[in-house]
Amino acid sequence: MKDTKTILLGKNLSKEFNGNVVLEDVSIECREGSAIAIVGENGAGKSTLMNLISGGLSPSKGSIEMDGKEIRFKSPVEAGEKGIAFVHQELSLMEEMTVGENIMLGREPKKGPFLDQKKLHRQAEKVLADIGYEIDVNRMVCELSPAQCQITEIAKAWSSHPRIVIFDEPTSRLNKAESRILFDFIRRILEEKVSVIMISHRMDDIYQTCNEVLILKDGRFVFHSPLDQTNEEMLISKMVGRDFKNVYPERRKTKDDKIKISLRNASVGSTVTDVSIDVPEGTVVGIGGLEGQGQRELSRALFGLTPFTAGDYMIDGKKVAIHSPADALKHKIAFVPEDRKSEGLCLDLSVRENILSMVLKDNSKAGFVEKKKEEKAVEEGIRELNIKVSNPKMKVSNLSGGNQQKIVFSKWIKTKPEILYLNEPTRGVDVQSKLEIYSLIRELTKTGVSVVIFTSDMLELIGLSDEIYVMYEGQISGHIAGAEATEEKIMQFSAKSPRSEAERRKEA
Amino acid sequence: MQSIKEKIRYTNFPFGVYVLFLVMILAFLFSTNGTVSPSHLLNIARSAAPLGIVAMGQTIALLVGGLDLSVGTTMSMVNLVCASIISGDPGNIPLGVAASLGLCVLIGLVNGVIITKFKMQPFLVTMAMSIVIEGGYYIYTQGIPSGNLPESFRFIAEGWWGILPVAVVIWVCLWALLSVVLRKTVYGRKLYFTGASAKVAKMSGYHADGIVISAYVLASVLAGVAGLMLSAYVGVASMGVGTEYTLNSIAAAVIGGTAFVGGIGTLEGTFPGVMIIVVLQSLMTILGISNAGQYLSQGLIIAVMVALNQYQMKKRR
Repeated sequence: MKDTKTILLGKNLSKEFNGNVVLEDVSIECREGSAIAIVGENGAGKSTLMNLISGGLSPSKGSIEMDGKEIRFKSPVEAGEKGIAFVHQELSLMEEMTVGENIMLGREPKKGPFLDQKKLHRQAEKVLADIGYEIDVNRMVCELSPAQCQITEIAKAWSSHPRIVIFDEPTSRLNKAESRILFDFIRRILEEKVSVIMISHRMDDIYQTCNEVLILKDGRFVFHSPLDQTNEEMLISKMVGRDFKNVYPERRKTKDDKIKISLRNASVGSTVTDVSIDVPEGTVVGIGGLEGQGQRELSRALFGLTPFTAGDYMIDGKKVAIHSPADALKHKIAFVPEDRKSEGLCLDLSVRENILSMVLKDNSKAGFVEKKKEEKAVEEGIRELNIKVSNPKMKVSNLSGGNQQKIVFSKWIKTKPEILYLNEPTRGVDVQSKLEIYSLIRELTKTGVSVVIFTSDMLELIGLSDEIYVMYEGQISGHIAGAEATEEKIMQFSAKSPRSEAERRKEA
Repeated sequence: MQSIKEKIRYTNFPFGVYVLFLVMILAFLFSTNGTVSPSHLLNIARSAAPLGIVAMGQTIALLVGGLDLSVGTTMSMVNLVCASIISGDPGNIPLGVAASLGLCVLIGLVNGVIITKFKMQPFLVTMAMSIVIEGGYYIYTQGIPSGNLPESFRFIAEGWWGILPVAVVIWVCLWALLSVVLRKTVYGRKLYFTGASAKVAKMSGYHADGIVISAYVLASVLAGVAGLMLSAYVGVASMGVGTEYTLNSIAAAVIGGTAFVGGIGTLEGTFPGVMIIVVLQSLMTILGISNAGQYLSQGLIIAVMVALNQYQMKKRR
């Protein structure tokens, strides 16, 4: 491996914004056929480094060489022309255009002065086939699922035949099967001497695809090594800067008999049918399964965003009718939505305004806000959740995913909920913040809060839940105690419906 | 020192527009060779009051993530309605004012309800409303506006309390009141939050629709107050007196740093925004520059200020 040709060399790169050093003296070497995993906590400088080598930012110090010659990219477009493609975590697709048009954007084939739509879609189809996915290239992007959008984004990057491909959290929207296809694709392009850089918080992804690892912390270089000389625990401890053994907090030992939430034969249209679940007070109940089996719809119905079409929804043994988030709040329910950027936070407003948004009344008198109380509440929120901000008036959009998610939590916890519904609570969140969120959830259950967590992250589901329900095609296909759950057991339930099980038994 | 620097960095107070306002006044004083007295400036402020009041309403509509294209015709309508009802008799003033403002509440309600409940674009809804109002007052007047306003009513535009024009006092009082509402009350906070993202606001259990509707009612009622004041200037019923106020009110808000995306902007910015437009107009008139020059310079100022506000937003991170 060591003697392969170097494509790009970033030497002693530093970047500062108005005197704040966000990256200091970091070097990176992209060689043909090598895949570098870049890992680190939020604010470690991963994105900054990637932006420097892909033309999004220019370095304050240091130099970038491509094929041995020093180069300065003026823009991402120029870097793209030189063969560097960046698959951003934030999707950058045109919603009102077709998949094909998006993939071929800027490289459209022409017939005279006009676009050759047929050829364009044929080419786009071929790019997708190269990667190993099938999406109808004539569909509008706005009709796609998040996973399909992610794949379109990857195809868009790959269509330019890049020499270096940078992936930022490529699997955060993909399920296991889809991820596997992506990994196969990455391994294939590595053989074709393409260089890959991958930012990921999932250790699994890294070990499946990469052969080198580069760890950053607080904008500085920490560690670089071939991946086969490392292990997961070692990487995490280097990244966090301390050793830790157990990622997940201890489960509750005693079991409370009081049932807090109970669903009986509940349905939501045709996406959720006949679901019965019991959530004991002060426990974490995990709802797992493959993506798109009705988990999202169930979580939204529980919070009153869509109505249940049949069945009973009981809290503290009493039937409740929750038709809106306002109703849910009255029942002391809090909800962390799966998409924090569009539903969880006002990105253009400050940390302060977001944290306070749910408790304006508590911090006011006769309709007028009380600044002192507010300051205290904000200060507490930031401290309790260890949110990293230099000033609470900072805009939320400038914070990392982990910090943003903590603000969503802080905002809801301020309402002092008794019930907490979490939808993909650690998606796109760095390891350190993940750990903090896990222990926060545990702490909350100790004070009697009942938590239902909807997650497609298998390890999180097993590690965190006291009880696990698995969904398949809108129904509950399995129920296991958290302590007895294994990945295999859950996968078994995830892949078959209870109905077919019954039918099979009947046949036998 | 650090904390002052931090404060300036994160404040939403629109310094840029105040600097421009100051430059504008200096340019004004300079180009008139000091022949202009402070009372002359107060007189300009007096003539700016109707725009100042309607622009506050427009700012609120913009803050909540929409805009109101019907404020201009609302002002025209108020002029026709109150002049015809009052028709020179001071005894009819309460009825005229009540009828005018009542209609404004109705217009705001209809705007807000259609926008929220049918999820229609504010641009289209308020544009349609504007056309409907125009049609309405043509029917009402049969094309011949009639009625005038008595001296006692015209006091709100023409009167002076000592050295202060009454119109300016009304304007500044309304400004102070609304500023407190926006900055210091729960309602004001919710308005900003809903404007920044109605979706998140709904998820947070706000009655987001109610907040949006209230914003359009406020915008309409403020247009009504501006219309009453404008009528007091004009003194008689006259067709289409408010037409130019729609775009000018948007221009003033935008110059003052209010963004089209919602949730960003202040009344503190809209005030100098209004003054810049009006002082610029006076300046052009004094310098004998034609309408063309007026439009060109006003357009330029809008473009420059929008660019500047964008830049400031980006820097605030």
